[in-house]
Amino acid sequence: MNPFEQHLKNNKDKLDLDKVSPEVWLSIENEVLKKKNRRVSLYLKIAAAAAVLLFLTVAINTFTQSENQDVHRQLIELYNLQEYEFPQKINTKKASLSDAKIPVDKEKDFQILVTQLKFLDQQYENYLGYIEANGYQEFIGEQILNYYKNKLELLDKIQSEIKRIESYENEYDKNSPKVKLKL
Amino acid sequence: MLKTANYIGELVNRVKNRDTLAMKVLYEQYSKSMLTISYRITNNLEDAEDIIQEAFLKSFQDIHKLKEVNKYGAWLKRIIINTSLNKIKGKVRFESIENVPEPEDQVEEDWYEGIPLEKIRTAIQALPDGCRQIFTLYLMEDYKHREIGEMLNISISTSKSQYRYALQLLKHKLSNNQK
Repeated sequence: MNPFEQHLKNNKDKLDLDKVSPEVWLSIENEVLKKKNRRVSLYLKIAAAAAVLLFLTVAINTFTQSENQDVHRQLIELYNLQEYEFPQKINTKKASLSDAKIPVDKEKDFQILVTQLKFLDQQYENYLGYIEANGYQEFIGEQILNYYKNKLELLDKIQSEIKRIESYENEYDKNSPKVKLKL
Repeated sequence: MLKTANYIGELVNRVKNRDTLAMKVLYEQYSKSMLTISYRITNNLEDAEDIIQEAFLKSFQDIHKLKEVNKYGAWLKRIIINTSLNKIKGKVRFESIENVPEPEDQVEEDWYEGIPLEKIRTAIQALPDGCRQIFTLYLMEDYKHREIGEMLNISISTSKSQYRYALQLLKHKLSNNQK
């Protein structure tokens, strides 16, 4: 290696370009974030699929006592789905509302919300029927995911409505009869 | 700039956990040198920027394939070089080196002293495509002529002679400009 070559090697870093356009990193970051969002969305879809799988597993186990229980657990571990356990959240919320009582004269107000819940549940049954007939497909997973979200929202609404009534109970006749909320 | 192997390894491990900040720090560490390599190969700044963008993204996406986390730089460089060479595939021409220009007068051994590095950088970039690519890979990126031959699909002797040609052109251009 002659002195000139050595000189170039010694100054290699200084011979680099001075700067990189900031747009390069912005584009990279944009792509990375898009992928991250897609991944979260994928997890949500998998969560919906896992919930269906759980349902089917339970149904099958009822008849066959098969060893399929592990599949759901494996899916949960594999995709870190703990955050998205909608069915569990729904059951917890439903349980917390199971003993709730509402004034008779407010029953009609709640009827709308309860009807919406029933409508949602009917849709869910239809989705499961579709899966049974055609197998699991991604768009059905999305629908089921929406079902869970809507159902949680409705249950939250019912819960806050009950709290509101309790908070302003003085406005109502405390002695008016109450009925159990039928969810 | 802090660039120890452990430091890089730690960043790579964080990137494996999809840590965007670690990606940014790695990018800051390597983007200038990688852009320079790609620019010297493609001789087109826009292409070089596209290539480093694609290469960094690929590296972040395939980071789990990197077993030796401390060697991220070498791994990324290989991605950059391969992508850059793919970009210019079929377009590289090696100039005939029959008429190698000689400096007009006898020059001293330290003829390059006092020449601003900026001028040298411009002169390197102005070299003909084929010999500039070989010059970059051999002297600046430490590849062997055998490896360069495989990358560019040329013989070892072509790689060697084109490298010498690049050196002579640089010497001719820079020493004459100095006068």
